[in-house]
Amino acid sequence: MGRTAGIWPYVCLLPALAVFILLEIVPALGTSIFSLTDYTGLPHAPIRWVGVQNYIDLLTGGQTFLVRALGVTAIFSLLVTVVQNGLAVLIAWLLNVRLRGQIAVRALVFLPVVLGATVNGLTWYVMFNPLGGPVTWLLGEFGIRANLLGNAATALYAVIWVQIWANLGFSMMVYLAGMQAIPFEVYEAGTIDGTSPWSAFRHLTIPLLAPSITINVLLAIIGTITGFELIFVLTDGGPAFSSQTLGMWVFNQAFFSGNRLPGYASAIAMVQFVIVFAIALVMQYYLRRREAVL
Amino acid sequence: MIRQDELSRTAAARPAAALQIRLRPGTIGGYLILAVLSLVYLIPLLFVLLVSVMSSRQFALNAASLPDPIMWSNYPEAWVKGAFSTYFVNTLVYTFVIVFGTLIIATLAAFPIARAHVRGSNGFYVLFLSGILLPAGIIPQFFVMQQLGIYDTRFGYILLWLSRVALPIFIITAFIKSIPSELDDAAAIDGCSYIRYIFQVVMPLIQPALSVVGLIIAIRVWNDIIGPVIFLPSNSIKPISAGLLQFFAEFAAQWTLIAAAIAITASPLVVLYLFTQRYIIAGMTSGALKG
Repeated sequence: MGRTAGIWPYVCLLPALAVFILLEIVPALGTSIFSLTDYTGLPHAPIRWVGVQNYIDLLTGGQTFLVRALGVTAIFSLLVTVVQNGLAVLIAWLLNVRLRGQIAVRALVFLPVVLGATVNGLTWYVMFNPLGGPVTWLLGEFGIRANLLGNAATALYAVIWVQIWANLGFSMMVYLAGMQAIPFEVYEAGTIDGTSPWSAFRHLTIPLLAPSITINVLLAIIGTITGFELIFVLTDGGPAFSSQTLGMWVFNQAFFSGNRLPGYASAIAMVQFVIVFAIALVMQYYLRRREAVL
Repeated sequence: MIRQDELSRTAAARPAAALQIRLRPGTIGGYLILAVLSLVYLIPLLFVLLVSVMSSRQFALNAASLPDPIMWSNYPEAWVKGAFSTYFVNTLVYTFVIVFGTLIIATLAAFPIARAHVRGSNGFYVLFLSGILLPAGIIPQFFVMQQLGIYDTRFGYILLWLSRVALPIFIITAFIKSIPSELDDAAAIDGCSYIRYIFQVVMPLIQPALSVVGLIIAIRVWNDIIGPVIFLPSNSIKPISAGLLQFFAEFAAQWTLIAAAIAITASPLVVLYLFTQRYIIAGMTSGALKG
């Protein structure tokens, strides 16, 4: 059929290819080019080459911002990845055995994944609100007066909590699917050997779950470094930049800061890209090797 | 699933053993954890629902109480004040056009790639695959759209979403490869034209894959917030998620109305989720499972 169809297969490929190259591939590669310019985002302002000036600015004038954003990103990424995956594995393990009502719990925990960042973020904004929000009220019962999102010391951790709450269901489902792929016989053999449920989890489930762990951890790390939807809805990186990750900074610097500098923001995006790329490579190597060993 | 049924059957056959199992400390701990987990997810969602029908006076006095009187009027008030009918229509249009547009261009591209009807089909496949891995270049996207004069237009936003065609092509190509190609040859003898063949034969065959992909795209479009904030600054063409955020900014501290607006935005998704839960979960996690 292909040989007789002439140019038609190419015609069919064209629309997807055109829009994909124009708004996906070219922009993805274009960030590196814009990082070498003074692009302002204004429609008719000329764009000039500035060489590596943006990077120099980032490492000299902007170094306090860079260090702070790197620190916030590290805390955000590390805490979310570790807690979310730890909890998800444990809960998936619980849900994989016969407990009544677990199907409903599964569906409930996955619900925020469907509701999306705006609904999740604003829901927790209402929960955290200093006037009558249940979280504020609960903390008040313990004698703690706190405006969690409005305080530079706590905002990041409040955001981390919501991020984990929102994405736990996704990790949990991936782990559940991984667990259900483990043949029942493995556990039967374990039971004959007299292993306890906990040691079966530790020595059978976890090693056999290694591929799911690899992909979940990778997705969580990349998602927390590049994604910033929830941070944007909850704090917009504030107060006083205390919850501004690299991704949030790129967005604010490019489109919403007092002096919008998309060229400079592109340089930050490149730093972000290099970090994600390096982590992905290392993780891939390390976790895959662990999989092989196990 | 089957395993669970079997277990419950054996448990029913031996009630004494089942009772023993249920009372084991590990099992009690398990139920305790499930209960806590359910509360952590139910409380915020229920609280928003309660506040959405609370009078603002009651909210200020004691928000952690059952609403009395029940203020259903918060919903129409939020709907009108927030111009949600505009946002709702916008989102429906965006969702509809983007879902069907993506499915059509993705299938049109996936078929010749899957059947190697184009030279270097593998190269095209890898090119599209790279789109899943490359970071989104929001700044150059802004530049390109401004240069083309489609920044802050419905068309531009739709085009931006159509460019996210990589994952759909990836999934649909895999699905097409799983169906035998004998039918293609029969159709070629018939002289069925190429595009008509894709629309009339291929698309019905891969309909299960298209439904799942379409469902996932619909949810993502409905929830997109960064896209409209950057590329659709005009209120009249904003989708509902961005409209909700706009409402939140304008009516700050009017928590009862904000809660009603949250419920309005979330309700279509909750209804969709109730009916298509299995497909949604399978579709959203499938990318991770294939990796």
